[in-house]
Amino acid sequence: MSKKLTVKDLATIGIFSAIMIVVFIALTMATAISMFFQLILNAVLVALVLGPFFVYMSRKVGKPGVALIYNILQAILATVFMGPYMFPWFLGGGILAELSMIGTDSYRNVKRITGAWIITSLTRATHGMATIWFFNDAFIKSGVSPELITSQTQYYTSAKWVLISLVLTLIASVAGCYLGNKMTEKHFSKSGMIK
Amino acid sequence: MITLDFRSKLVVFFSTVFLVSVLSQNTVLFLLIIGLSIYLSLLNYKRELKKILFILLIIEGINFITKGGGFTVLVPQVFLFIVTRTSIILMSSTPIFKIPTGELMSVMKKMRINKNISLPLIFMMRFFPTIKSELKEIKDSLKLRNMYNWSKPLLTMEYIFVPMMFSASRIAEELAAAAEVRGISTHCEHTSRRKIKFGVLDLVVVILSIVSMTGLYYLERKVFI
Repeated sequence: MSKKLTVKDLATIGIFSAIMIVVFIALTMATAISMFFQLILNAVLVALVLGPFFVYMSRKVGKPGVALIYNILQAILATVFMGPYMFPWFLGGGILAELSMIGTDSYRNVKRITGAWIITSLTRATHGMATIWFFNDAFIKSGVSPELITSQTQYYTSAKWVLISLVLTLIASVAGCYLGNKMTEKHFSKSGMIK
Repeated sequence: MITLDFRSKLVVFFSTVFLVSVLSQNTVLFLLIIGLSIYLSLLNYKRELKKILFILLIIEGINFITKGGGFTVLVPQVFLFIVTRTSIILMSSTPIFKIPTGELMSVMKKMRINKNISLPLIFMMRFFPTIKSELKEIKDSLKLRNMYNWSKPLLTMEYIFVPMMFSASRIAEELAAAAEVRGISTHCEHTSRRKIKFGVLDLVVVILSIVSMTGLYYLERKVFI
């Protein structure tokens, strides 16, 4: 089987990315009611809920490039809604996720897919922290509310909260991929829709 | 009604993204909203404009009543902040999202964007408007069978996700087949029946966008501070 992505593969990536982005926006809106949920638990929830879609998308396509393209689409979205300084962060995460998938048939191996999803989820979880750690000036100039800057600085400069957020995201990514694999095995592998 | 080239719409969009990310004064943001309202009216997106203005009116109403503080944890200030900014970006992105797929494809090709990025982006934009109806159909059928119950969240998640995955896969196959039939994979030169031309009107829009962007940025930094 050719390793080159076909139009069907690209359509699958595009459509699943659309679903994942819409679910991500819905979850972000839902968690925006509390600053703590928004800053600490949003990435955790997103990693858990989107995990099954990522597993399905990766196994359905089964060729290199899925993690990178998904992260580039995320980077474009982040650029649009957060500013251009976020693009390299997501692109870097995408390159790392794709590098973790080097090897034969890695996109059919759920452990390898989980690894890529952990990197992708941690990239998303740390993007808010990155704004405080590396892009603080650009972030403040972006006209964000003082309340957001205060809370973000309070949570993201505290080692305790950073660690809690990252560990929970890691656990949620693994759980999301586990659930996704279970669903895929139960409903799609048996019917032959996915190898 | 006027029609614009995709590239001039992109300039308006990126100018708005830049302004939204640097503006903090309500008066300057208001001027930006007026400018974008005129832009959407001229492009005949009046229905979409009414919807966005209605959302902005509600947000501003809440801002006015609570003096910008939001309603405690239910509608916090940061929520109002995010919705206002997103609505303004939505005003400038509406003409981009509404562009016909064929035209978008031709423009991407003209801009020499790699196929592995442009195709998923096009499929993604093509699928966005149908997600809501797909989800509604799944929810309705679950409710009909009395299976839409969040007391068992993992099971309900499975009941929603599995049909969504089936449906998304089917749509991906159909869209890919439609694209293949039109010869998307052929190696010969691709042509388009749509004329992609950057005209005088586009140039005017681009100049106006840059002038407005600079002017509003100047107002923000020099006049109001």
